[in-house]
Formats: sequence, C-alpha cells, structure tokens
Amino acid sequence: MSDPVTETTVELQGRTVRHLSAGHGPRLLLALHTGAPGRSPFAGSSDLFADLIGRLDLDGLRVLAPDLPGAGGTDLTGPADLTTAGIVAFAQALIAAEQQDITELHVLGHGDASLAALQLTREGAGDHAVASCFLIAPNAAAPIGDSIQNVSLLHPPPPRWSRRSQRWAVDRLTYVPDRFPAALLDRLVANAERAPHAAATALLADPVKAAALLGAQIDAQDAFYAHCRDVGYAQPVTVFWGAGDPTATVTRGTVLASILAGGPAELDFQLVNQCGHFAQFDRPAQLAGVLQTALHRAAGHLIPTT
Amino acid sequence: MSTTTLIAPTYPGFPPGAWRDVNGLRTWWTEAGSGPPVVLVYGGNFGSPAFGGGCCAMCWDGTLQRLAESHRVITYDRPGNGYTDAPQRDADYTMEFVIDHLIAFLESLDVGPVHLVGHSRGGFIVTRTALRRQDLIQSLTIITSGTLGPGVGMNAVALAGNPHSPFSLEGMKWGYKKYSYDTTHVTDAWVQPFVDHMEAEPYLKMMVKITAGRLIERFFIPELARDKRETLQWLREGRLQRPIQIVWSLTDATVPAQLGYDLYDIVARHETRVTLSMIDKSGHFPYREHPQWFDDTLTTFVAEVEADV
Repeated sequence: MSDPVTETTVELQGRTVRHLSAGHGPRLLLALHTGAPGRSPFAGSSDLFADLIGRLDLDGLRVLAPDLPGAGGTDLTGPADLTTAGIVAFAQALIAAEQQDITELHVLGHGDASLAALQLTREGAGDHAVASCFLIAPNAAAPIGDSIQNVSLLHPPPPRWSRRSQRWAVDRLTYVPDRFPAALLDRLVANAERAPHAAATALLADPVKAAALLGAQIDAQDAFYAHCRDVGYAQPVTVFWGAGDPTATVTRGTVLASILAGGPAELDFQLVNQCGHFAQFDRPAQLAGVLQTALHRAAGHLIPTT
Repeated sequence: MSTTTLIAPTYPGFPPGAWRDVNGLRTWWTEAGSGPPVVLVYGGNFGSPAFGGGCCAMCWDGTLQRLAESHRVITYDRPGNGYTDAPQRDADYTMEFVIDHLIAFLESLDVGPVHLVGHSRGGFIVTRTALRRQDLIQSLTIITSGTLGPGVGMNAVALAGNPHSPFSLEGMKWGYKKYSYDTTHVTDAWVQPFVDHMEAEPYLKMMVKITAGRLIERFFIPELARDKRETLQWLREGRLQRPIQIVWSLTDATVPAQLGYDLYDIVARHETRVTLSMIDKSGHFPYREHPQWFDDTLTTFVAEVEADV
C-alpha cells in the first residue's frame, strides 16, 4: 500500500536536520510533530508519525516529517527556534530546499506544533501556498488566557526524560497506554540523550528564557485569532480532537472550532471518543482515513499567495 | 496600618483621593456617600493593556458617583495600577498578592463587613478574597468575570490584533470598544486617565521590570491558573457562604454567557441566596453600557441583604 519510510539527515542553513519521508510526487504533505523540546515530558520527534505515514496511500504524494529544532536529530541554533515563528521559518526553509517540484502543499500540525501549522497555512512557503491544513489535538492553538491549570502532566517521575518518566507521560497521553509502541518509546528515550534535546533543556533552565516562550506563544495566538476574526482561513482546515486528551478539554476544542469556523473555507471538526493526545495510536485507522479524505478533498485546491 | 494626610490626586469627577499604607504599598483610595459600605474592585491586572493591564479606579466613573447617593462607596487603585505603588519583588506580580493587598485594605478600613463588588478579573479577586476572609464580607457581586468563569474566556480572540499601540489612547479605545456591545461609553475623557498613568514614570519603570523579567509569563499566568483551579474547587465544595449576585452580559464578546450560567450552577448548589442577573445587548461593561439597570440591580440586592440583617 505504501512506500517505506526513509530516514535522512541533511544540512540546512548551517544545521543538521533529520527527517522522515515517504512517497513520490508533486503533492507534498509537511508533518510537524508534537512535543516542545525541553518542556514536554516526552522527547518527541518525527518518529511519532512513522506509523501514520505507513497507513497513507501515497500515490502522487510525498510526506516529509522533520524533527523540529531541538528535537530528535535536528540542531537547535537558539531560543528563537523554539517559538512558533522559528518553527515556521524552519519549515519554510525546508520546503525551499526541496529538490522536487511541488504542485500542492499540505500541512499537518500535531499538538504543540499546531500554531506553527496554522501560521504556515496563512503565510505559505516562498511561492508555494498551502492548500489545506490538518490538525491533530491542536491544544496550543486554543485560548490560554485565565484558563484553569492543567495538572495532568504536573509531576513526571524523575529523572525527567528517563525511560520511566517518558513511559509515565505517554501512558497519560494515550487513551489506551499499551497502544503506544515500545520501540517508539525507545526512540523517545534515545532522543532525550541527543545533543539537540540537551541544548533545549540547557537553554530552558533559565526561567526568563523559558517564560519568554510562553510570551511568544501568546503573540502567535494573537496573530492567529486576529486572522480568524477579521479574515478567516481560505484553505480547508480539519481538526481531529481526541475527547480523552488530558492536555485539553473538549470545551477548548469546541471553542477552537468556533474560532476557526468563521472563514470562507470549510472547517471539518472531528471529535473522537476514547482518543487521547496520540490519535495515531489510539485511533490509527480512523485518523489515517480522515487525513486521506481531507487530502483528497483538497486536491487541486490552490490559493494564491498573499 | 496608617493613613497619611498628604494631598492625593484624584480622577476627573471623583471625590478627593487619599493615601493609605497597605502592606507596605502607598495605596490610593477614595470614598463617597453614606449608608451600607460598598467596595468596588475593577478588572485587569499588571503590565501591558494587551493582557489586561493599565486599568485603574476610573473604571468606576459614573457608577461610583451614582451609588454614593445611597451607599458609602469605596474604591481604590490596586498594586501597580493607577496611583498605587507597584510590587517590589518579582514574585509578587500575582493575583494572590493583589488579594492579600485587598484583604489588608479592607481590614484597614475598619467599617465592618462590606458589600464587595468585582468586575472581570476583579470578580476573581473579590471571590477569592471572600473565600479567604468571609468575616470581612457581607455580600458578593461578581460582574462578567471570565477569570472566574469555569470555562474558556474569549478575551484573547476578541482583543487580538490591536492595530494601535496598546499603550496609546487609540489603542486603549480600540480594546475597550472590542469589549463593548454599545461603544458610545468609550470616550476620550474616560480613557485618557488610563493613558496618563501608563505614560508616567512609575508605570514605565514597572513595565521595564515586567518585560525584562517576563513576570507575567513566569508568575502571573501560571499562578492564576493554579489559583483558579483551587478557587473553583472551593466554590464547588460550598465554602462561599455569603449572598451572591452574579451580573453577566448575553452579548459580551470576551466572556460567553454560558460561563455565567455555569458559575451560577456551581455556587447555587450550596448558597441559597444567589441571583444571576443577565442583561441583553451588553458587552463586558454592563455597569457602563446599562448604568440604570446595573444601579437598580445592585441597589436592590444590597438592600435585600441589609434587610435580612
């Protein structure tokens, strides 16, 4: 059904970048993984998408899933890399470096990367407009202001990012813990031992720099909300929201849906029962099916870059 | 606690101001009228107006003067707002510090239990103050408080993308108009005192401190989120045991009406004397957009509580 997933390391703008890719063709799906380096209690990377990519029909479609700066095997060059704007700039550079022609660009953002996916959808990448946006558990895009403290990941077992600690985190983030593959957990543990993760944690040991990232997220949300309120997305947006995701309540999901729904394009909001933050393991077939449908629906849907 | 006699400034149309040392901060306050003591606590917080900063007692312009015809009305500037000193320690840029300060202010007034009224973030402040010190409170009025509301507030959405500097007159007016259903109450005369404060040296010094230390992101936001969870838990346990009036708006772009209904549901499970007063065609400032309705609603509530005594 699908091409094998390939792991590649490249040099991009003076840094080492690791990414997974699969498929060939002029349609490109750029997938941005969840997990904020140095902040999330798991050391995420593009490997979180490997199973999902393997489930897709890749006829004419290439999937590119980079490790984001500070995660997996992609270098961190500074604190700006960890902001939404930094992730967007990184993604734009990655697309610009693509050797193949791109006739359609689609963006997928999971959890912490959802704001970046939404900004990339607004801005496009160079000459390439984004044709559709797919969001899995986009908790980072829902309003923060004066919300109740989320205690679900408050006390990871020490030492942080050890196997035991990350096991604890993925247990809490999946609706059915045993569905999270053991080999993937091994990969997350290995991620935490790599230089990019160490660089991110060292940087965030400074509480002022760590707090600045929250400020940057609020700024990114401000731009996102103003766009939704005053303009609206011209591209179709699909939201796949797990009703059992402990990082964000269903209410936050429905509020986000109401914010996104004001634009000229269609919003497809999927609220999925018995599904946690890692929908790719709680609802693998359903998620792949909804994503595949969204990509087909958006085929040929091109928006001029503004 | 001591009251000084130095001449204090005041706001246009307000009674004379005074200084009071409260928890080591020179605190501006004023009062007018006689009758049941009503203390008004406005909304907002420290820092940039983009995140609710820059407020002061001028929020109550008109309300204070009208209510003073039949009540002893007291209001003040909170720490880091208006004419009142800013907190000295970085870690004090929190709502809990503001609540400690209000408790000390109420103690210093020595007027017996008061009718405490809080708007917006002030609604959270007065509720937590009441929960911590019910001996100081006769009744509680909570006005359109997304901070206290058990759900998702929409401030960040409604106020996103201010095309002006949030510290300017135009920027402040843009924000207050976004808050409002009927924007005619957002006048230069009302907003200018807010801007004057933000252009004054103490505010600018405070902003440098807040920005350099990331005090809102480091202290204010995370501690408010923690305290909100605890406060709602206390309410669900029935710890708030005073008459409660919830005043809400049906058409507030920043605080959905559902949050008012949900808040009522929580407190009404335990306290018998709870009223939800919901006004149509009103934004975030029902006491300014519908002043007569608000005055009547509050006055009737206070009179009923006083009659009970």
